[in-house]
Amino acid sequence: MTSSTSVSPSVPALRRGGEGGADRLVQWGTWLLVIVLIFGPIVPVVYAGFVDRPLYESGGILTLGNFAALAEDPAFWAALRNTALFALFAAVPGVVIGAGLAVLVGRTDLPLRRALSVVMVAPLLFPGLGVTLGWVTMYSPSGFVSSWAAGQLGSTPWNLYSIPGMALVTLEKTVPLVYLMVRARLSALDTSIESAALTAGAGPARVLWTVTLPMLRPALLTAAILIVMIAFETLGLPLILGGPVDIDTLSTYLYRTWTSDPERQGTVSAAASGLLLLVTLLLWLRTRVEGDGGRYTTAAGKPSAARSLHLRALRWPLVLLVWCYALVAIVLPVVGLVMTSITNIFAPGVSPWSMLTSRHFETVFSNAALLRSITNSLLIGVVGAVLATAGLTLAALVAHRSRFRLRASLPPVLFYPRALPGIVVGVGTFWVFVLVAPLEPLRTTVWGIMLAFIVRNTAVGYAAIHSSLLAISTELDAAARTSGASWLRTCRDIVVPMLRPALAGCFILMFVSLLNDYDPAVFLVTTGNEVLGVTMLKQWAAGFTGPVAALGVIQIAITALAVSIGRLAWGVRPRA
Amino acid sequence: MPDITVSALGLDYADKTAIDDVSFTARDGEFLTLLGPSGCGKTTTLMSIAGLTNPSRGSITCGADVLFDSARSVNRPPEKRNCGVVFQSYAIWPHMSVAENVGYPLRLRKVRKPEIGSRVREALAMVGLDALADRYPHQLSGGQQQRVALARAVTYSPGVLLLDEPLSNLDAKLREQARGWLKEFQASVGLTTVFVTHDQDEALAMSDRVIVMNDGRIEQEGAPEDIYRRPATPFVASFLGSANLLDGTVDAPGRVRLDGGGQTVAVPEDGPLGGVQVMVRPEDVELMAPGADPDVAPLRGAVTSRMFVGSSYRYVVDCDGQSVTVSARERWEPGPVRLRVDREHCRLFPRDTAAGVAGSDRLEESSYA
Repeated sequence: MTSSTSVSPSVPALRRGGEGGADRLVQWGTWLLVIVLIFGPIVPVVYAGFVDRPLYESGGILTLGNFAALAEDPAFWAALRNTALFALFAAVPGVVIGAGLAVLVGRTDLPLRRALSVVMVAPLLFPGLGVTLGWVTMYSPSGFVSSWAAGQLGSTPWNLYSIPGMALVTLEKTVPLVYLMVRARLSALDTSIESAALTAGAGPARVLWTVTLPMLRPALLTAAILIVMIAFETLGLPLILGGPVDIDTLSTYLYRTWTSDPERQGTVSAAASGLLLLVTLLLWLRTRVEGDGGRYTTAAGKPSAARSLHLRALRWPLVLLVWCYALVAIVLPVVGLVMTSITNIFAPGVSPWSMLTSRHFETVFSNAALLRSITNSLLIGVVGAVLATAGLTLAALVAHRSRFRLRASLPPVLFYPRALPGIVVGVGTFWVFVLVAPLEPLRTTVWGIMLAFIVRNTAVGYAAIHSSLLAISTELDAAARTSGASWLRTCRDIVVPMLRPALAGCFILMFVSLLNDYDPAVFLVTTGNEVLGVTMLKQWAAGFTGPVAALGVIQIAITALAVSIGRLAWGVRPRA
Repeated sequence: MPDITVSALGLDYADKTAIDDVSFTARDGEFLTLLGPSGCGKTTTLMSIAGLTNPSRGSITCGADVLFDSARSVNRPPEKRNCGVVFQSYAIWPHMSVAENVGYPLRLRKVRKPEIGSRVREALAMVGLDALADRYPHQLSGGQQQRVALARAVTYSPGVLLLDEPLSNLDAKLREQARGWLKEFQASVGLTTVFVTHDQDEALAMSDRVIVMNDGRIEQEGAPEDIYRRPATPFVASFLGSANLLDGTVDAPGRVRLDGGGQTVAVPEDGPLGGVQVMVRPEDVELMAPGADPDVAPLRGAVTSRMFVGSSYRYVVDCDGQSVTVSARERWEPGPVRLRVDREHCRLFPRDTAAGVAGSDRLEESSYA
């Protein structure tokens, strides 16, 4: 040995024995926590559907009676039919409009593309109930636009309080989703395939129709399935628009039966299991269509190379059309919401400027229950986002950066809550708190609601971490392991610091999602643990639209603030 | 420094065997190279030593320490193996400065701060980067990153240094320099080193010993000259350098009748009988004028193409339907020639082992990448 070595061998030896004990403990702990949290609320719902008496009574006998009772209930079948129609009416225009806009913005020389792009995605940040209120002020039979249309045409050609009306309002949320999905697919597609068609002699319209559109087919199909899933699980919208005219969807049927007829809890659970099965199938279908590869493809960074198709004569008519849509579907409802929050009466025939008032905001800040719903929601948002980010980071590390035996089961489980209807999570969480005695004190607290919200939104945060984690080379952790770091230490010193921007993103997304969520809370709210969405729902039902609008505006303001901070956090580039 | 002994190592995936029955010993201070085409299992073997891949069977020991033994269910995690590893991508942690990168393994071993400082300086001085200690990885060139990775892998006196194609990310010129530098560095620290590469030139230039792998198995093991001069299989012959493989039949001891025109060529007497392939390297064939003495240059042929490759010309000569590649400094025009084949440098392989060679071309350039 040519030992002119300048590396002296006096380095302390590494500890031997007990290898990876702490690592394994953390990995098992994380896995169990994920499984219990996500499947915990589902078990009692499904189980309750198969026993002949409420879960809190002992001696239940397994039976299919609940399903038989459900099948004999005409109201159930009506609700199912309504939901199917609702889903159809929502999915078709949602996909057509969203995809059309995405192609126009992503692939053509449409003027003002940048601005349009920002306006299109904005509704994702709006609280659902607030926006619905905005639609009502504009397009309900007594709304501004409706009255104006009735004056021009003699009658209003639309009716918001109907299934197509409900579908119309969902466009607010579904169009941006479709838009984002199709944009992502477009940016992953090489524009040279379009250039090739152009040089072969096809006109721009023909290129879009025969080349671009077929390439988008998987994205369009996934988007359609997503909208159907939303239609099946959404609760607030059909409750508000369908309720007054007795149109039940599956979710409102569940909600009303649960709250009005305690004797039929078994039937409700049976219906909830059915709903769960259906949405799970849809999720499975969606993953099948997306394909494993597609989910992980990140858009390659070549935006400047993208060629755009020339619209020529169609440019200005299309711009006009697109901005009319933005005005009607995005701007006017928000204006309606804001005006409702700052006027005594916001109705046609009365000049809103003579009705200006700050009393709705005063009510919000002076009424203890209303104020508490804001502070509770903020508390849930901040604490929940911190806990969720920590938990999801750990889960993602176990899933993608360890050799834990059951690691492969984690990603699908963490993505599964996309298929969990809010009401199912709510009912399930309620049951868990009732049945598991040590957890009972949580039932009436904000923490119980926080848990339910976190469970429902894991997929959102997990997706944010997961894609960034996959982009970090595994050789970086391997280098730390061979240097002598345990798995946990490697995660702490190497992976997590590099993941920081993604964690900030996860935190912001979770905060916004938890702040705006409310479906699962309808079954958990009592005096003291009110949250924004449920308070708005109840105030609206009681006829106080002013405070609802004020709360909606506050919710938008908080969300916008959080997202701007997030932009800054994302903007901080890691050294690489 | 301890020996590294790998015995009967095997790894099966669901439907495929990645490595099978791989056994070798890297001796104290030796520079041992695992050479082979991509997918041959060389990196899998290296990562099994590091503990980053779980083999299905066999054992790995480092001196008296058992790192892995399937029979005794021993599988030490990577952090307890004390291996220094340089990865193909270098894997320098982007959020740490050069000094932090190199000092991290020492921090893990609870070395006191001032000592970490002096050791890091020492290690960086060895790789000539002492001036760049406070830089961040993105401010370094590829060559500098590679040196940081090397410094990081040796600061803690690992039992073995494992190098996974560390030169493949450098451009051609730099790679040449790094080759010599890395070899000197290895000799000066005296670490037992296992080096993985698919580049035959690297393997031949740097190694004390080379193990050629193909399809998850060891084809041949030996000193670089040995393997080049006396390849054990057609695969090794064609993977290291280029080799002509001519089909023929042994019709008398020391004489092979070539397929096609039935010309004979003299070969060493101790070879297989029956159908054979005669392996001869392009530089061991000499071109002569068509009128040359048949006793000196027994084979007739015709030059069909000529390529200028800088230091020499490369000819393809048609010999009754079999093409022979010849490397020569003189310039010949296409047309009839005679060939002199250096008998001592011919090797015979039984015909059936030729199945392992891709394609039916007589010449196998080592163009594996």
